[in-house]
Amino acid sequence: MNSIATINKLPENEVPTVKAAQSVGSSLNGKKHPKDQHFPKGLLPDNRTRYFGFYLVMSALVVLFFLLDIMYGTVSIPMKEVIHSLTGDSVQKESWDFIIQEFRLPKALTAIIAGAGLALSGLLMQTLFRNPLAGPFVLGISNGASLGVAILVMAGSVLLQPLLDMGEWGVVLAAVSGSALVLLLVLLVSMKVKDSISLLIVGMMVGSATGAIVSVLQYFSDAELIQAYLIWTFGSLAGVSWEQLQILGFTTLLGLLLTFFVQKQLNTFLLGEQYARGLGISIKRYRIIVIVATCLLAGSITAFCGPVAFVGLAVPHIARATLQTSNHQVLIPSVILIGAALMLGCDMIAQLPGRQDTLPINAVTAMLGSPVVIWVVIRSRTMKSSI
Amino acid sequence: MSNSNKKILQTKNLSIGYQGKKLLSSLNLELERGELTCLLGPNGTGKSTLLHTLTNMLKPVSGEVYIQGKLLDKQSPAELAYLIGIVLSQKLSPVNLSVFDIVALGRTPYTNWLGHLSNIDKRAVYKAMELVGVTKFASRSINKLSDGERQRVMIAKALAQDTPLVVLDEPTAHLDVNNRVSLISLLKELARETNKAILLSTHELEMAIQLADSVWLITNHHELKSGSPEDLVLTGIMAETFKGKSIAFDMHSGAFKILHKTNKTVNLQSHGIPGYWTKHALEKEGFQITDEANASISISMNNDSPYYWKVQYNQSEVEVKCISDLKKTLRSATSECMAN
Repeated sequence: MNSIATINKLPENEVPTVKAAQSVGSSLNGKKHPKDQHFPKGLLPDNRTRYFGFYLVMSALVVLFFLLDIMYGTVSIPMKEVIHSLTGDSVQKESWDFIIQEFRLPKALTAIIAGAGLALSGLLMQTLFRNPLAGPFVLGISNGASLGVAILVMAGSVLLQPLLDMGEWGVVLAAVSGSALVLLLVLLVSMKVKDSISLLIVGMMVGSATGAIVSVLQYFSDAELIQAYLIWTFGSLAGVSWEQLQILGFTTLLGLLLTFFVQKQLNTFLLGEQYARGLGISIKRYRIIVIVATCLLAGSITAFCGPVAFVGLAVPHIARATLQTSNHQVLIPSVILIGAALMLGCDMIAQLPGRQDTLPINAVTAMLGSPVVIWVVIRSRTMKSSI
Repeated sequence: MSNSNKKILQTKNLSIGYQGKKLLSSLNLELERGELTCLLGPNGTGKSTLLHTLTNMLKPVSGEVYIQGKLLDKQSPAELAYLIGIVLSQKLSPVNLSVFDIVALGRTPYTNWLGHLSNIDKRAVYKAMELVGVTKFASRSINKLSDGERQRVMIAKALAQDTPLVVLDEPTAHLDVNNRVSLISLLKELARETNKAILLSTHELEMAIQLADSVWLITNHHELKSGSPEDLVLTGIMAETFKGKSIAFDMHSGAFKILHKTNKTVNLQSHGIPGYWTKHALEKEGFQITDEANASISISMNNDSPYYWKVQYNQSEVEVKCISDLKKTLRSATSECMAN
C-alpha cells in the first residue's frame, strides 16, 4: 500500500482548490451519514446553490434586457408604459402600444428564442462531435439552411412551386431540410474520420460547396430575388411576424424537449463513444435524436432570422468557463439563459439607440463572437481545450 | 444467479477475429469471482480483439460467451451495463467534469431519465472513490489530475457501475513504473474486496506473474494458454512466447533479460552483490565470464567496501577503484591484446 499512498500525494506544483480543501476538512469534522459510515455528506461536492444563484442572476438579466430591448429603438418608451402594454393595461399613447405589440415584442421574443436555440444547438454539436470548435456555423449546418432557402427563393418558381405556396412553412422546411442534409453528410464523414480537425475541414468544404451552389443560383437569378436572398443572409430579428413566431416557438420548443430528453446521455458522450456504450447507451439512437434536435433548432432559426453567426459556437464556451463544468444538467439551462441574454444585448446594440438605422444582427453577433473564438483558441494552447 | 456460482464468465468454443480474419479459435475460458486475470501476449496476437469480443463490441466468429449464465449476444446495451464495467487505455479527451461527476456516470444504468442521483447512488459513488483512493479529489476537475489518478477515477467509475465483471484494456499503457505497479496491485486488492472478476490486458509480464491469480497467455502459435502464472512459467510457455533475438525470459527471476553479444572472454573471481554488478557491467561490455584460468584477461576483486578491482593481462596488473575505471582499463587491455 505504500506506493498507493505516494501516488495519492498531491504533486507539489498543484495547489488543491479551496473547495477540495474545504470538503476534505468538513469530512474530518463533519457529521457522517446516519445510515452509512462510508458517506460523510460534506465530502460530496454540492454546487447546487452556486448554480441556482447563477440561474437566478441570468434570469433577472434576461428579464431586464427584454424590457430594455422593448423600451429603446427609434422611439424610446418609458418602462412603466412598456409594462402597462405587456400586462394589457391602457398605455399613455396608442402609437406606443402599437409599436410594442406589433414590432418590439415579437422582435424581443424572437431574440430570446434565437439566442437560446442557437446556443443550445451549439452545445449539442460540440458534445456530439466532442470538438470545442463545433457549432452550427462552423460545421456548415447554417450553410445548408442557406442553400435550402436560396434554392427556394431563387429557383423555387421552377423547381419547388408547392413549397413556395406553403409560405412561411415552406421556408422553414427548406432551411431545416438543407441543414439536415449537411449535418447528415458531416456525420457520415465523422464515422469514417475520427479526428476532429479533419471533420472541421470537411464541414468547411461542405460550406464552400454550398456557397458555390448559391453563387451559381445568384448568377442565373433576377436582381430582385438576389436582393431578397441577400437581405435574408444579413440576419434579422425584426422580420418575424406573430404567425411566424408561433412556428418558430413550436420547432424550438420541440428541439428543447428533445434536448432535455437526452441530457443524461449527453453526459456519457463526453467520455467518448466506447465508454458511453459501456454505460448502456445506444449510441446510434441518441446520435439521431441529437441531430434532429440540432436541425430543428438551428434550421428553423436560420430560416426566419438568417444565418446568425457565432452565438452557437461562443455561448457554450462562456457557460463552461463561468460555471467550470461540462455537466449538461447545468449547461443546458445555462446556455439557454446566456444565449437569450446575449441575443437581446446584440439586438440592443444593433438598434443603435437614438438613431434611425439598425445594423444587421449577423454583423453584431460576429463582432462580439469572434473575440470569444480567439479566446478559445488561445486558451486551448495554454490549457487543454475542453468540451 | 446464486452467489455460490463462482463462474462469472464462460466461453464455449469461442472463435474470435475481425473482418473475416480469424485470430484465435476454440477458446473455452472462465473467469471466477474475486480473481484478477491478466491477458498477456505479443502485439498483434488478438488481445484487444478478445477483450472487444468479451465485452460485445465485436461479434464472435463462432461460439458463445456467457456472463453469469446469460448469453452475451442476447443482451441489449442497457442490460450489458449491469454486467460489465469497462476501462479503456485511451486517454480521456479533456473534459471539464469533476471526479465526482465522472464516477457518478458509472451510475447511469441505475438513474432515472434525468440522471438524478439517489442516496444509494451517491453512496455507491463515494464508496467507489474511496476504494481507489480518489475521494480527496472529488470536486476537482479531471483535467487537473495526473494520468495515474485519472485512470484510477475511470476504475472508480467502473466500480460504481456495480458489475460482477470489470474489463480493462491496457489500463497501464500511459503510466510510469510506480503508477503501473500500484494500479495493478490496487486491482488485485479490489478483486478480493469486491468479489468481482477483473480481467485486464497488459504488457507488464513481470507484474502479471507477481500479482495475477491467473493468466491468459496468447502464444505465437495463435493459441491461448490459461492457468496460474507459475504453471505457465514452469511449462516453459512463457519463455517460448517471449523469446526474441536480444531478449530472453529468465526463469529464475520471472523477468526479462537482455542478451548481449559476447565476443571476448574474461576470468572473474568474485561473489555476492558486488560480484553480480561487476558481471553485469562486463556482460554489457561484451565479455563472456569464464572460470578458465588461461583467459587472456583476469579480474579479481575485493568484496568489501571500499571495493577495488585488480586486472591482470599481458603480465601487467592494474588496480582500479570503480567500475567505470574498470571498463576503461578493459577497453585498452583488449585493444592491446588484439594488437598482440
